[in-house]
Amino acid sequence: MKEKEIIPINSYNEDQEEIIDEDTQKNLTFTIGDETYGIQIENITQIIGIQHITFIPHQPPYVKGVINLRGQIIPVMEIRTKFDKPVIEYDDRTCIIVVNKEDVYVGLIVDRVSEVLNIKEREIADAPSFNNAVKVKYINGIAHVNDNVIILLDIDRLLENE
Amino acid sequence: MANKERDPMIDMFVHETFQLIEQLEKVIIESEKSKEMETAINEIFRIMHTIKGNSMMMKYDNIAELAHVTEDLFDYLRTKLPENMNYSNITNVVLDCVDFFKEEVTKIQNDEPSIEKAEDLTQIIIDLLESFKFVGGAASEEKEPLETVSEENKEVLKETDYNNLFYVKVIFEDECQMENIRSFSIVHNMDEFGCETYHYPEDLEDVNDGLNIIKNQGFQMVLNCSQSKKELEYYFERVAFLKCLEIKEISVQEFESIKSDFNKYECERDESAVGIDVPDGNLELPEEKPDIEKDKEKINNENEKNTKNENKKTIVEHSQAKQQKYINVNVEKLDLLMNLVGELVVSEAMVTQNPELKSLNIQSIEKSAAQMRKIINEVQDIVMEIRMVPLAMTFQRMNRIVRDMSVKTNKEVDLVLLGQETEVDKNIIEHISDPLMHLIRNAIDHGIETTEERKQAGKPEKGTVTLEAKNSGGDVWIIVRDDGKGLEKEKILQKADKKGLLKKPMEEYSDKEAFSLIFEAGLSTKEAVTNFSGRGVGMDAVVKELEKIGGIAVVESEIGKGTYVTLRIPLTLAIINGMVMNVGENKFTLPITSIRESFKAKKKDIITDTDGNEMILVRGECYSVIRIHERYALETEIDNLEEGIMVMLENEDSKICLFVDQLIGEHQVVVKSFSKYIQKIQGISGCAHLGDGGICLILDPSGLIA
Repeated sequence: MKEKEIIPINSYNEDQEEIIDEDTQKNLTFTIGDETYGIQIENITQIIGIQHITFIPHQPPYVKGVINLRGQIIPVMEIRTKFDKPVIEYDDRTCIIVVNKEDVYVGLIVDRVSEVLNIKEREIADAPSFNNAVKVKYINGIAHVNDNVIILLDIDRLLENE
Repeated sequence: MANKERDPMIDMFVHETFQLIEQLEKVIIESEKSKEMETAINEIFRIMHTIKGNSMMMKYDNIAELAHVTEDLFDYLRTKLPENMNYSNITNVVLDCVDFFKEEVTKIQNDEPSIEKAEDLTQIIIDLLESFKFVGGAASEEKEPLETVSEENKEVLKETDYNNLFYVKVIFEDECQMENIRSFSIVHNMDEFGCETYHYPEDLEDVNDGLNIIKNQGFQMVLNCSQSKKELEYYFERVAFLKCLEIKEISVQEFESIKSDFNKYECERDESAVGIDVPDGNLELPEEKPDIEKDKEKINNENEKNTKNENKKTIVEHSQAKQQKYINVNVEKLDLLMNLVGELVVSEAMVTQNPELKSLNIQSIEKSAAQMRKIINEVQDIVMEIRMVPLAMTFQRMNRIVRDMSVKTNKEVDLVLLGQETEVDKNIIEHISDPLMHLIRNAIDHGIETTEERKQAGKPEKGTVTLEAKNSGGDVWIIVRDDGKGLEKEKILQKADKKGLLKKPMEEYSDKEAFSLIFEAGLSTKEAVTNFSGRGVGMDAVVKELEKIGGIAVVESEIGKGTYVTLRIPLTLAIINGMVMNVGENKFTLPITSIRESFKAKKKDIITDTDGNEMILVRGECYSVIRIHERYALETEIDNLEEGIMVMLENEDSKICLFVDQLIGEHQVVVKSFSKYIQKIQGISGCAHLGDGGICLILDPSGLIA
């Protein structure tokens, strides 16, 4: 196991701690191709580098299998396949973000993890009613921060099996 | 009670009270069965007394109050056993008490407020006692409970300086626990009697020193009271968990000197560090009683050792060595330990099978690695063993169910328990209690006929429900058997048809399939709904609960003879002995117990039927072949049946052959269930860690064959 690649979430917050107020949410951003996505930090358990994935048969195509995370067996989902994007080969920037929803842990395979961002309520626009790139139902809203567009994902719906 | 110690105290109280309640239940049911009350009365009295004392200590007055009146009742019964006593009345009352205690203690356990008072029940018991007294006549007034006597004397006492003076020394049974609280309870009772009491150790809330002194040397006190020695003896005999009791009448001088001795010890103890230099437990006293001599000697010895070694531990070990030692451990801790050991096994393999280390070929490392593996295996075995619990407790609990059911349905039923010593994993035990309860209720309510019906059918009037446990391979079978009227296939099918539960034409249902319909939700063949069963819930709950632990239920029945329900439950959820094999890059594990044999297929034995299904001929018998790589769409280079290997597996009565690339070897694997996120896969029951940190899938024979 590649222990050294486990990045504790806390290390991100240090310089941003002071500007937390009520209508601010912390999001971890990651990229898939040219698009940037955000997940609320409360849902995230940890981030690890890509590692060996054991294939599990008879699953939806985006469920790549399971990984062994220090004794815990965690299913992993490839965001690219889930969003119908072309599959690329994993490299050393590929990460697995382990998220937790009601004690169900799932790893999300993403191209690369960027940063933790404080996003204010007023910076978030509602999800558009149509979007060709990502299935709209997984989107919570669109945030504009410093001229960057971040697609905020709804973890609950993302983890629902179709 | 000291607030800081609150939590462990409550845990202790809850645990002990539950044990007492369980014992109480057992005693009363046994006594009812044997129609013999006398021995039970003393036992019940003692239990009630302990419950009362404990709950009084913890200030659970509602429990204490009920226990108190029940204690009074049994106190009366044991002194004056009425001849024409109605046993069932008493049994019912006691069982009601048991239920009330259970409820209240559960509330305490869950930190819920318990304000409920058992007033009705208390009144019933008081009435019952009155009625006995009435029947018993004037003779009953002979002996009133001690408390009432003391109330009257209380006032008088305070004015006199010295009444009867006593030196009392109490030693509790080893392992009875909470010695300080028990001592406190004694002091408390003494105060109630109006005694002037001095005791050593002084501070009873001190859980370190004070507790150890009581444990090792006993609890000593001097009393100045109006009671006679006899009365004191009467009281102390009823204190629970007493190992040895010493009561001596002493003079005023002795009283004062012992009192000051106590003070002196107390001071010394405060000065010296953590009570290593504890004073000798024996005080210079005249007139030793011969019957206590022995015990005193023992304590003497222990005390000598204590001072010699200046080591508290030795004395504890010394006094406990003779008896079995038990401790209560939180199951969560065991689960954690279990997980850690699982990881230890994996990391051990990771280290010892490190390819770089292996290529160095150092003999000494291999040697130590082998030694380490041996130890780790032993640790693993022991952890597994710790988790194994005999079924006896769960089985015993069913006595109560049978008793309640037979009273309420008016059927006479015997419960026969077999194989109670069979052990299963703690996690599993928690899940079988409810299914068993449902099955037994069902057996009595629906299975066993009424007494008249049984007479007509020429059966013994008393019905029998048998609960049997036995080991069978890697499973434990629990069989619930009744000698009732059996299941009527037609009736079940018709009912299922009405409810739309049939999946194929009625005629095609075999007996087994039809009977297993009783586990479907919503099916109840009983026309009238009773209090206990018949609503069509329950039986499906049985199956649901069993599924959680990977168990199944099989029903067999014969009209007029009875019904058998067999629950097949895995021995443990945690570890299986498996054969690891691979298909391409994927690894699979099959439970060793289900593998019959493995062999290389020969071309001439392979048959393909008209639908393209492959079969193989082994010693004249034909078995269908499942290619794992095809079944689970896996990539592999080996698709010629002659190149790979055949594994014949057996489940129940059917056998099939699996085709895999190769066998890797036999391993003990730690079973992990899949996350809810993974969709159920037919034929795969879970996954397991392998030595190299990888994961293998566990094949489920029954799923593969189905």
